[in-house]
Amino acid sequence: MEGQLISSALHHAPWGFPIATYFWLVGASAGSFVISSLGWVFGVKKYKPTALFASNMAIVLLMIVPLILITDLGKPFRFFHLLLLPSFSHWSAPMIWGSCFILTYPISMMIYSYFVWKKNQKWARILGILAVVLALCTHWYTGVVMQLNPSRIPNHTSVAPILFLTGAYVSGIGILNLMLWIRNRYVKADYQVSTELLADMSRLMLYGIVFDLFLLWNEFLQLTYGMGDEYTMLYDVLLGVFIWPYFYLEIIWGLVLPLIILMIPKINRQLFWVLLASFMCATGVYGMRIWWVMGNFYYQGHY
Amino acid sequence: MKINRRQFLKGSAAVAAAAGVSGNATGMEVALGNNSYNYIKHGEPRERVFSCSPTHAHDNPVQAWVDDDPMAPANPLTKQVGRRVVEISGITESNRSRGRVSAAEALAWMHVDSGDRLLHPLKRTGKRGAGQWQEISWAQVSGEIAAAIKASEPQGTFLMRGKDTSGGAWERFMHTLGSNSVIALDTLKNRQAALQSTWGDDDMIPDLAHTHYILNFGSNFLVTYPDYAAEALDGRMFRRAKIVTFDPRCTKTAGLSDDWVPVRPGSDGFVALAMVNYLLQQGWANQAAIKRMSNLSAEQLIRELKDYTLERAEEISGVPALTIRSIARQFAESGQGCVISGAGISGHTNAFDAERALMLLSLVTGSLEIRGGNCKPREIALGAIKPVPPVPAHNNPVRHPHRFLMHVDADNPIDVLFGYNTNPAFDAPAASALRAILADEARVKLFVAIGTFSNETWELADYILPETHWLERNEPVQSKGSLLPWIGLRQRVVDPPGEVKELREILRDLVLATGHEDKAQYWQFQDTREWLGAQLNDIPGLKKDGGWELMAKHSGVWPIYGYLHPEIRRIVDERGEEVLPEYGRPVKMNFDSFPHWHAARDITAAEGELILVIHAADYHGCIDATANDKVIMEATLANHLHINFETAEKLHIEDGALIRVTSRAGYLVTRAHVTQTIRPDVVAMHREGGHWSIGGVASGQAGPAHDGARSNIDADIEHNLWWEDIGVHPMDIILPVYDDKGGGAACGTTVTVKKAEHPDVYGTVRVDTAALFTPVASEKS
Amino acid sequence: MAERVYGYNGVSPSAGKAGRKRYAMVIDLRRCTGCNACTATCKSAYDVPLGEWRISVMEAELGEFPNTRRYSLPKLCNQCDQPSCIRNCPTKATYKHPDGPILQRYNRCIGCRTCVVGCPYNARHFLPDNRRDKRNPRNVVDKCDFCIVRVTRGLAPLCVASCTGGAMVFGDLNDPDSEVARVYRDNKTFTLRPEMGNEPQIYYIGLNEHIADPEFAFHHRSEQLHERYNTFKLNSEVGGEMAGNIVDTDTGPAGWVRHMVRNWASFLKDAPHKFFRGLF
Ligand SMILES: Nc1nc2c(c(=O)[nH]1)N[C@H]1C(S)=C(S)[C@@H](COP(=O)(O)OP(=O)(O)OC[C@H]3O[C@@H](n4cnc5c(=O)[nH]c(N)nc54)[C@H](O)[C@@H]3O)O[C@H]1N2
Ligand SMILES: Nc1nc2c(c(=O)[nH]1)N[C@H]1C(S)=C(S)[C@@H](COP(=O)(O)OP(=O)(O)OC[C@H]3O[C@@H](n4cnc5c(=O)[nH]c(N)nc54)[C@H](O)[C@@H]3O)O[C@H]1N2
Ligand code: SF4
Ligand code: SF4
Ligand code: SF4
Ligand code: SF4
Ligand SMILES: [Mo]
Repeated sequence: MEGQLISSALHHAPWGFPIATYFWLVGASAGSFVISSLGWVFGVKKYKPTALFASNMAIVLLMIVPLILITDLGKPFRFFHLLLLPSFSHWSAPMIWGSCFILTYPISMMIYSYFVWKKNQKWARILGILAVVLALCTHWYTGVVMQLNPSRIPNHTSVAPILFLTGAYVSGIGILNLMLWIRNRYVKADYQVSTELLADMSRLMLYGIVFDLFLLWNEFLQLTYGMGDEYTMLYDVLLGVFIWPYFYLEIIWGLVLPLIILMIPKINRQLFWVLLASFMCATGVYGMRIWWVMGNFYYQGHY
Repeated sequence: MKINRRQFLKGSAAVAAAAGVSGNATGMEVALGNNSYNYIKHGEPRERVFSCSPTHAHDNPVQAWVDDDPMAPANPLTKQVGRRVVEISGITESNRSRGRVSAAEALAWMHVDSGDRLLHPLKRTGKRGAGQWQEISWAQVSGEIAAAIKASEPQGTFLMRGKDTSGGAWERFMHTLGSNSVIALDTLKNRQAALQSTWGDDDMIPDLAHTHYILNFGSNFLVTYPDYAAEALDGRMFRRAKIVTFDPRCTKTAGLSDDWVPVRPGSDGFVALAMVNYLLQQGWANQAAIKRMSNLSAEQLIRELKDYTLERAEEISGVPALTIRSIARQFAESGQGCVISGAGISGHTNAFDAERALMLLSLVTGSLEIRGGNCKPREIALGAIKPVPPVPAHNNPVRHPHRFLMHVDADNPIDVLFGYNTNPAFDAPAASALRAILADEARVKLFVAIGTFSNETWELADYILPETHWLERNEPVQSKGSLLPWIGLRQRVVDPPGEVKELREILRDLVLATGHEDKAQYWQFQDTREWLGAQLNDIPGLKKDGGWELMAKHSGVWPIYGYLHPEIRRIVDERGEEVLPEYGRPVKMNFDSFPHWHAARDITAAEGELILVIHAADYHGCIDATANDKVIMEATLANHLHINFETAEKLHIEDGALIRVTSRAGYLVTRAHVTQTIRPDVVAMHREGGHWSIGGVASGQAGPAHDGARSNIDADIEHNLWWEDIGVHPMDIILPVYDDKGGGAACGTTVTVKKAEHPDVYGTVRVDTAALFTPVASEKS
Repeated sequence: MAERVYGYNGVSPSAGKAGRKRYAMVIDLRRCTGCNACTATCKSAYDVPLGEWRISVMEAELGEFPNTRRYSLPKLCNQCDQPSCIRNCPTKATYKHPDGPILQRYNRCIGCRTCVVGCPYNARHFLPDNRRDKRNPRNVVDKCDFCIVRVTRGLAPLCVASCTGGAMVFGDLNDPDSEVARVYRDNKTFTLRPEMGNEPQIYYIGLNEHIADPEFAFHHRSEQLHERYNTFKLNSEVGGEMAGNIVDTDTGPAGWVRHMVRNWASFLKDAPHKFFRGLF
């Protein structure tokens, strides 16, 4: 025993579930918008029927975001300090970039939705490109907010934004699938989305899952070869405090099980399994948002 | 040597001069103190009033900063807008505080408007200790108590007090009544007795400011005597002074010392004698000093000391002979070393002789009354107010104050007992027995408590009289622990709330209520400030320097010896030279009854037993309700039992485990703090755990979970108080054992420690109060 | 080497700049008794709420009996020359004073706590709605301001003035004659977490590598501290709305759900008063 710490100031985790939820919502929004854009922007015809719904869903998800974010502020009514007062805006802060994205992204989506609704291919395409870029940026910046605070593990990685984005992509498709299925039950047959299409989307999701696992594997390697604090993090996500959100929820439930489901040829095009895998992915990513946010603050609480 | 008042008034010019002489005028870009600003209203200067805090053993001079801000929120206690104390800092001109304050001092202003204060005279309505009170008027209180005093013999009125902070008021009161009966639960009773009988003064001041070697036995002085801390550590920096601490625990002081020597409790006396013996044998003793100061010659000493060998010392103390030897030699060689002894020595039944053994060490190393050594206390006498009541003819019937209460019974009852500045029902050994005695109306017929807050002892009183906080009263203060003696003032900084009165006024009104003309003549004053003036203006020299009114305005202490040099951090005169005390007072020591070592009875551990020592808590202060202080309590770790790593392993106790600590009187249930900072045969707790009175913060009855608690008038406490563990009260299981010669209590005891069993809950204390009385029989002398 | 400045409103570090002071502190740990006088004066003067600290004293027991030592480490804002808190603040609510201290503009701060996340030293805290003095700022982030009100008037910071061990030395490092410059020059000094690149302006003499290491703090906390921390996280209202406060004895699936429910509940409970008490 080399010694022990017997007394120290105690610190609160500055961010909690609301922020984790916000990360998740922004991600899901971005993910579903990417699907929306496939038809009109990238010309993959078969996804066109989903476009309007996906984009509207992305807008709705993103509408909840400011509510949570603003309420989470200590001074909610001062949120306009972020937006309207150029002299207040501090451009080195990712938060300011994010504020711009969060402001412009839904607007561009709305205009895009309008053109999609009007079936105006040209402008839908232009706005779509803009909105896709903004969607990616909006979520990219959430990763950057973490990445640029490297004093707290696990932030210490520039893979953070890519991990966040991949999670966004996976969870966005997952939610969209579920929502489309629910929608099917309320709309006329003409508007319904075929199981075929849902299965195709889950295929897209599968690529995301594989990529996500690949990134996580890299992170894992990084942690095992890391310094002491990284090793600590590794221990706690695999065996300690964060085993439930990280290992069980994110890895097993959110990635490995859906991967298996979507790889089994017999069932990977059946509605039930597709929806189950979608649900697992969507919720699994929430686990990642939780452990990343909380894990950040857990270790340094004593220091 | 000293700078007088007129020079002082020239103020800043002299400060610049002082700094200039050392060639560092530009180096002083920030001053350490002497101003404060309103931090909310960005920088408005604040008013200051000088005072002296009674919070620690030495009353450190402080300055209280007052905000008189019409925009300020009302005082939560009085609902009045206006003057409030908002900050306390040290006085830079004082050679004691030198601009610094301890945590307890800095926070004392928060007590002034604490919701837990006593605001009205209270009279008990239910049984004693049942906690039922009724507010009554001062007139009625004074009348009823005066009647009881008149009905009893003069000697039947007793004062039970802790530290006497009253500047002579209590003595005057008791003498006015014709009583000498004082139960002085003084700090370090055994030490005082030992010193008094050896050299005629009851204290011994280490000259930490100039020493080269600090040999500390059983004191956590860097924490418990904050005025010593800076001096000792300056010494470490500027003179490479060495600090060696003998203590069974690695206290903060030991942890910062150059060497921590984990000595077996109760054995320090032997170690000291072995050191003396070794030095005499080796011819390293200072023969001249022995000849001059001691009634025993070196030869006689050697004869007395022949059994105190280093080898036996090792056996008894657990400290390697080699260590003892090298410390003794280094200490003697330093030529300018001082010895500190603390509650760790005074708190055992062999304290009287152990203290004197330590004095012998100072003597043979020639480190008495020299620069950097141990010196006699210096004091400036306070003036007397005429007429002076005659001293009663008979002696104080209380010869052994610490054990006195244990002998009070229905045959020898106390008629009227005044309680002041003490809390023995909580922090004396066998506290539960003392509670039983105080609660018994056959033994204590009338019990009158005077205090600012209630406490576990006052709960047992018949009347509780609300006294001003020290920031609200006028009292003279005499220096303690200082070789540059001074007098100071405790001044009324703010007006007291409710019906609260100053002690002097309470005592005056009691005397007047007795209706004796001849007694009333000693208490003719209208306000306490007038009284203060009368007491101070008598002091020779003060008048010449401008009188006490000037002193009150300009520094609160007198004399001003010089200015704080910002870099050497000493008090320097106008030439920049450090102001030194006068050394070399005549010393005559009497070792007729030689301080032979004998084992301490309180801590003789049998196989399987451990020695429990209870010590002062860090951050808390004495004579203060610091246990009710939110910031202090937040910083204080609950008093879990500190137990050595190996011992815990043997007993299968893990860190944090719930355990039962059992002494012959009973047991308590606490948690284990497994540590490398304590001897394997010793366990320790601090004494500031498990309060149930004083106030909501102390007792854990305030905070978010407790709506309507009185402490909750502070919104911060009401909403943000977060801790739950207030510790466990340890003093009930400590056996009442006393040092026969010193008369003071021992505060160690032997215990067994084991894992808690099924129904045990944290915080439980169970004692057999009858068992606590039993050892007393054997203790009778 | 090119000068690095974090944040566009950042003032460049004042080291060696003529006409500017470089306020810094040297803490000599060989003199720190761990008495907490610094904490006490600071908390009482600035009405720092329970559960939050502008300065605090960390304490450790190191070594094996009988070769045991006890270390105290007072920690306050490092007044970094490259402050990551500032870089992260979206509203310029926190900024660097030309003479060094990092300050807060309470009326700009939106309480987003990004700066808290950014500070490697946990030197910032969120002020609760309930304080002893209601005139003081609430629901925004606060930190040690190096006692700027005192310092600009020629007074040492409160913690320095009270320090019973005389361990803290404060002053202008740009002035070679100052005491702080001399102590800095004459001793080997260390800063906390230098690898973070924040360039702290609090220098320590005799810093122990263990106690300076957050990883040690995490792995070697005593059971009592651990328990204290968990009560803190459960009880503190201050942390309510932002409590990602994981009580690590309760981290099974049900525990995580409990954390989530608790956090959302306090988030919703705090929402109305945050919106309507003191609109801006
Ligand atoms: N913070 C704080 N300061 C205080 C007080 C307070 O309550 N709190 N009280 C004030 C008062 S009234 C007093 S009297 C002083 C007391 O102040 P100190 O004299 O410093 O007393 P304690 O802190 O109780 O320290 C006693 C130490 O002696 C050790 N000890 C026990 N038995 C032995 C032994 O046989 N030999 C040796 N060598 N060591 C032993 C204990 O482990 C403990 O560390 O402090 C004053 N200052
Ligand atoms: N085991 C163990 N026991 C010990 C010791 C130890 O080291 N170990 N130390 C011993 C020593 S050295 C001492 S000094 C004693 C300390 O014990 P006590 O002498 O009992 O001193 P305190 O505990 O400080 O209690 C003083 C009481 O005075 C009250 N008070 C505070 N300010 C004022 C005021 O202005 N006016 C009035 N009237 N009352 C006020 C407070 O409410 C407090 O309850 O404990 C002794 N007990
Ligand atoms: S210690 Fe933290 S709060 Fe202070 S300046 Fe550095 S980064 Fe900012
Ligand atoms: S909490 Fe205030 S100071 Fe901190 S980053 Fe947000 S706006 Fe800036
Ligand atoms: S410099 Fe001032 S604000 Fe900062 S910790 Fe010290 S006393 Fe507190
Ligand atoms: S006041 Fe000084 S000695 Fe006391 S804990 Fe603070 S830095 Fe250390
Ligand atoms: Mo004492």
